[in-house]
Amino acid sequence: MTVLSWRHFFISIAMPVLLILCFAIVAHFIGGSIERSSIVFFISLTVVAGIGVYSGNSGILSFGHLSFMALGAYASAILTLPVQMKKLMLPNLPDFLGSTQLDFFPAMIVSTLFVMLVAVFIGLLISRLDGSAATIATLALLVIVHGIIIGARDYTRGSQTFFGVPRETDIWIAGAVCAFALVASRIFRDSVPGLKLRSSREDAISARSNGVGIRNERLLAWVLSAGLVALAGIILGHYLGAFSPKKFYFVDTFALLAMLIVGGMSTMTGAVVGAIVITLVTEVLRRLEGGIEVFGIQFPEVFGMTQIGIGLVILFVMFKRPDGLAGLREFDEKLSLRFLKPERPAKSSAAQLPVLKDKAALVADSISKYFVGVKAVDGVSIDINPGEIVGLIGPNGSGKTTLLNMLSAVTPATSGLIQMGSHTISSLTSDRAAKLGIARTYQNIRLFSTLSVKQNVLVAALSKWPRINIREAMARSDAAMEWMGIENKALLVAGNLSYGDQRRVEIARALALEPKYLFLDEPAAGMNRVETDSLMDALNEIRSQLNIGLLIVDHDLPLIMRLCDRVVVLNEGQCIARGKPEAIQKDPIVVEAYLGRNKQTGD
Amino acid sequence: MTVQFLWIKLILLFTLLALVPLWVESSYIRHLFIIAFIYAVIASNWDLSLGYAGVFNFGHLTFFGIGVYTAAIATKALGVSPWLTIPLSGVTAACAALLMAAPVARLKGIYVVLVTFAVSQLVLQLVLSQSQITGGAEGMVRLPYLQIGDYKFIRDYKLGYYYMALSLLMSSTLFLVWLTKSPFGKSLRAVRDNEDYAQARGISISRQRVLALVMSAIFTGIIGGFYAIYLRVASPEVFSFGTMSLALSMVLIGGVGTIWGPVIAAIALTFATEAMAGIRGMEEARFILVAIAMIAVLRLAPGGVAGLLSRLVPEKN
Repeated sequence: MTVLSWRHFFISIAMPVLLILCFAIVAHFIGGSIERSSIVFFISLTVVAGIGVYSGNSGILSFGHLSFMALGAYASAILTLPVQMKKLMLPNLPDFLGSTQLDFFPAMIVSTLFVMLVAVFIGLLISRLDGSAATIATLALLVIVHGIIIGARDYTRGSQTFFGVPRETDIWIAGAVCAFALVASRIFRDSVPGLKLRSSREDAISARSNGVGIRNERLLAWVLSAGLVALAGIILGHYLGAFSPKKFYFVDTFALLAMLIVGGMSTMTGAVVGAIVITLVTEVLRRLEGGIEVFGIQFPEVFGMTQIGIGLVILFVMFKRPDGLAGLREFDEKLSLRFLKPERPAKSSAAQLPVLKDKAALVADSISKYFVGVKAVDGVSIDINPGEIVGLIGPNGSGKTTLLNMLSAVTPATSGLIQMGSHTISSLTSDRAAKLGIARTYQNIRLFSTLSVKQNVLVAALSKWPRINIREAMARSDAAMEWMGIENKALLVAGNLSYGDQRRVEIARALALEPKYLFLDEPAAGMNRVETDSLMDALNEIRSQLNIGLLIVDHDLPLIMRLCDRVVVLNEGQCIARGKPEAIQKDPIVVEAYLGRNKQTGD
Repeated sequence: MTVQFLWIKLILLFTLLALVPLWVESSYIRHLFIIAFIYAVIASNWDLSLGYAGVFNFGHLTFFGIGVYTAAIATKALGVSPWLTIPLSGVTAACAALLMAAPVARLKGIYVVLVTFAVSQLVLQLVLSQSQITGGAEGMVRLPYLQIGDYKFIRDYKLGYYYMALSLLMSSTLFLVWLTKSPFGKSLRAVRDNEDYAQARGISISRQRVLALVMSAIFTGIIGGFYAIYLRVASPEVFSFGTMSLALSMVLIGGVGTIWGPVIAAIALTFATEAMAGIRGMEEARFILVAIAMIAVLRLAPGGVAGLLSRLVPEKN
């Protein structure tokens, strides 16, 4: 089940399948070296699409996928090798392997499942690591698997060439596997876990505080991409007929890497574009390298031209389009903005956000946050009730944002307890807190900037707890966008919106979580008076109609005073005053904290 | 850690290492020390870009490889004296770093890994394809050796090479310590820890990144040149995943962002892996063990051994 409409979904998978089919037919009819290059092209494209499933969606580069390719190739080779040859080549093979000989297709399925199983174990180990640490771990994985394959002589002939693998791969099989990989990668990208994973790639912190605990999604992507890459390894093995561990180690990675970079690894379109460009450049330059005659001019032999050519292509792409030639959006997503009619929400009356009935107050009891040498927040107590708006003010550096971070479980409190009904928020991670109904926005807007407005909101709707299905989640996100008046911008890329609109998207995203409490960190910053007024109306409605409890941090004192039921004032990490807005305005301690001592103010 | 403490540690370490030849006469053990010093230079310079500047440079071994091939080609094809080729290797590596840094400086995160790794693969492919000059996959052998007058450095159980390698390691370490304590080093850390603030304070992020890469390439290239002249071979092995993960494991296990951590780890790991290579059936297993150790450090002690140690010694601010 994907987050696309059926028509969109159909186009998105029919196009690559058609493309591959035409390609295969043409290549088959030309035959000869073109057909052989096309098989290699299909295999490379399968690998690139497979790696993209993990690296593109999660934003973590993996070197380890080559090892899944190797495992797949070896597993399938061992399973399909004729029994007599096994006796000669691998005499020490255990009986159950030595006496079995599978056909190509069963072997392919068994080997792929085997690799995916291995990937599950490895994935459990490394899915906790982030960013560069994860990349290093995948490099280590490659070294480990390479070592194991060389060491397991009884199974693999060690570093010697493994030969006699039945040559089963023709252009149709390679094309079919390739089409399968493209479709699988495309479906995963727009599936619910794929969308969540991409949101975490864009901004891990705000993904978590919108309920996305990415570990499962990452593991799923890892295993799926391992399976696809293993398929590529399997058909490569059955195409070559003979290979050694070197094939999957370090010499052959350059072309694959170039395809990933040039096309852009976050999309299936990118994989296709990258594979085509690099294959074409390689084929053309390789012919030039041999010193050919063009229009009667004899070109001299130049060695290394292919590599230099690919290097220049990579540099050019990195300078001009760091996200790759295809960028961050699929071909059909670009099309849909221009040609396909944007999908309108069915009827606004059907899409309503539910009114909150929960009566549990959010109570923070004497919470503190100490950094090395600094008491950012020192023993502050605060409570909010459903349907109430509480303002949190104080000079710069008084600990407002830190307090907000603790209340939303983004940073753990050094001491103190935060409770909502029977739940202890202070002992949860931010994604769990979000699922329980704690939503927030950030002072320095943290949207998933390359995703569309609708996708931004949808991620939150899909992450809420109890879980709702995609249709409901769509309706909820439409309703949330309508609340904030951004429904007509649903298909635009969030990062390109104006500042005020981005703030609105962030609030809509928070609303889609159907929160019990919503924390807003300087929602009016950078807005003009008109925008601020319409924001205030929206917030007032959220409070009165949805019964959500709001905590607002802002420097716009008129806004705070007009909007809030109660105000809490922080200074140097401590609460210095609390009460009704009118009382706070007259409180001499507050005035002093804001304006300094009376005698210094002069007049 | 205080600066004085670091100096004491380094002076102790280098005095010890300078005295080693007094009681180690085996040419094999000395050879291991020389290899360890070479890895120590690679790893600690890598730490400059990886640990201090936060540039995830996956192509650091390229600088080393370029140093190796500079020395090999300059001595073999151009007949340059091996003494000259060693500093020359530093120059070419720094130039290569400048070229590589140009695109890297503008990129972030995953793209830095991609491009730096692509550059290293590109250089490898060039070395392989230009076999008339570089010997291709076979590499180059029988390079000229170092001598002063009639004294060959290989004599007296490699005494000359030992002190040569040690003094290169010393100069490299002093250079790195000086660099990281300088205002430049502090600005690098500022860029790593918070780009936005650093930029707001007037630090040019791209320029600092380019400089960090170039600085980390100088001694890496020099030691590459020395490596080629010492072993008298240049082979494409230096670009392999095996060499790369070994050097990377030294940086990580030693402790990112400490300079001295990778130096110690390089010496320890060289001896450990070499000892394992002596055990039958462990030839490949040693790389596996190093890789496992690397994952373990990432998962359990991201600060590396240096991080663990400094947790034992209470820090003074």
